[in-house]
Amino acid sequence: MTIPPLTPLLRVVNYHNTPASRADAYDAEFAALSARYAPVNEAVLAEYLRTGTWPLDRPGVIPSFYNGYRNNHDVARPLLEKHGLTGWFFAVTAYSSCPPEQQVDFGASRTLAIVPGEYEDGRHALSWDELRALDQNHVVASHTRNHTRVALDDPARIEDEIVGAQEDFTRELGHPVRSFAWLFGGRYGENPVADAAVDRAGYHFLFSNFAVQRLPKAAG
Amino acid sequence: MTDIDDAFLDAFEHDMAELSRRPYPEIGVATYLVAEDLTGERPALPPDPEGEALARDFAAIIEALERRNGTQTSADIARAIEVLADRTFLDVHFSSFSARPTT
Repeated sequence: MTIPPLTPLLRVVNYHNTPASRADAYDAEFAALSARYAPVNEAVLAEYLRTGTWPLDRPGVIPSFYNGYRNNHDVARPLLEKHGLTGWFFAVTAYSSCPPEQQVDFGASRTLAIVPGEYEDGRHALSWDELRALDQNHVVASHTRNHTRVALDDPARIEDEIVGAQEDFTRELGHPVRSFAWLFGGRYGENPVADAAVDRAGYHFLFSNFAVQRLPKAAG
Repeated sequence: MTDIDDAFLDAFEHDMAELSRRPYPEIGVATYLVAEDLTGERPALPPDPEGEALARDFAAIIEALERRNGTQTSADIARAIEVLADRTFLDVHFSSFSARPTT
């Protein structure tokens, strides 16, 4: 594989489930991060990528939370706010729309891990009310509609996962989201069908395994 | 510039293996992402000084790993970035927090 350039760089900490049993570790991590780094929201990221100049007096850090787990709201969110950090919550829209009694099965077929016994009511996904609450002071972002592997030569499925997710966010949050992360860390520029869907959905930023890309649609 | 000798590579590969054994679904994983502007509105983003130094170390480490072990996969490269981030985000290894006992 070609060695990716590692500059200019952004600091990111990737999380998935954040169960209460590990709250002390998250608390210590957020405390240490906030002592050295500034919170980063989409406006900061946009200004940096637009101007090439970091707009804050300290370097920033992006704690990102993938898959839209309820424990991100219940456990991570209050700790982020205690330490003044901005979380980026990459949610799976059909998971949040799924009835609680079906969420374990939904997750099992879509590589969404459940913490056994965590929630007696069976709801493991972020609800839309929780996403609306996160949308006030944090970043809600798209991590597809179903979190399922899609053949990259299947335009209808790609459209559903990328554009369909944006339609869900727009309906439930009252506005489209600006950031997207494809499953398994794919980049913009690797697949023209997926790129076109990302453009149609109107996303401005794409998070992948090695990069954060400001997308052509964000111009102007 | 980091001195990349056999002892350094041994320790680096040890950290790569150790980090890979963590319970990823429940822990925070520090990493670096490269910032790219694809809008064409301005020239390529300028490198930042810290990023440049890190990038030089990173490229040298990957080249040394390839001399020792052959071609590195994207997973190997991601793990190498993870080790660098784990060592450089804070004054302590970032992974030390998640290594504590759970409650």
